[in-house]
Amino acid sequence: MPETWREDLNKDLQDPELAMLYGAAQAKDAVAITLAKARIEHGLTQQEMAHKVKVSQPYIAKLERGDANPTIGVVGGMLAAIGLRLVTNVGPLVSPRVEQTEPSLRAIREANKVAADSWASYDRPADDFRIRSVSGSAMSVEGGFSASAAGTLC
Amino acid sequence: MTWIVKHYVAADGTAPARQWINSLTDRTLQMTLRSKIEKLSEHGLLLLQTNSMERIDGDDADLYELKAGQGRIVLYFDRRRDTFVLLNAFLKKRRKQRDKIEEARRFLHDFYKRGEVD
Repeated sequence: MPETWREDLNKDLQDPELAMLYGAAQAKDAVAITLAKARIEHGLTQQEMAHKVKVSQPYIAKLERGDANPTIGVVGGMLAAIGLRLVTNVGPLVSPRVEQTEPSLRAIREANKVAADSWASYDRPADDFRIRSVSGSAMSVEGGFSASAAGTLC
Repeated sequence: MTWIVKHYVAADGTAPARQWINSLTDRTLQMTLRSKIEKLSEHGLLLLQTNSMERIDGDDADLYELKAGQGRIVLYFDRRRDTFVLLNAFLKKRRKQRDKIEEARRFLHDFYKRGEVD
């Protein structure tokens, strides 16, 4: 039986105007999670990140909450300050649901492991590296110097 | 892998968070909250790293606040069922916020007793 919040969401998404509002919110959330992951990967506090990119810590918090509406240039500039670039991709408006008929501790441990791995996984061929995004995210970051770094998983 | 997210359902059959979200006339806020719920189902407790979600101080373990603009959803993470339970939702105003969190705690105690979700 589908979760009722999904039923409500799917019903709303039949309306093109609401779908656009939802898409805008999703994009902000994707940027928020991407920036937070990038900052954490680099071992920076919000204060340290703010100092690096010359903005206030509350602005970083707002960005990571998905409440800000930064330009693409601002996002790119912030990532560049920690040696990364923005890699964009597209996906379904609503992430596909993976059925869970028997919730179990094993399932949650697996989820934690997958999420933690996605959060921190690096491929480091020589001079370049990639950060894989958590599944379903429409955005990820990438850094490095070699052309072979293309093809980030999303 | 997705996380299970359910609405708490009171004894009278109402789901307070669901009703509040569905009744919003500010459709931008409504869709922002829906997006946050979907992110919760995608990323789970990792949202604690992003300022979108905070733990609520108090004796209740695993009681959290999901934030979207001025909108707030109080939720509980039920470790036995591996499920996030959306208890209550409201617009952030200091005094009201305290009342609504207290109300969510009452819902949580009812949830402990009856365990009904939707």
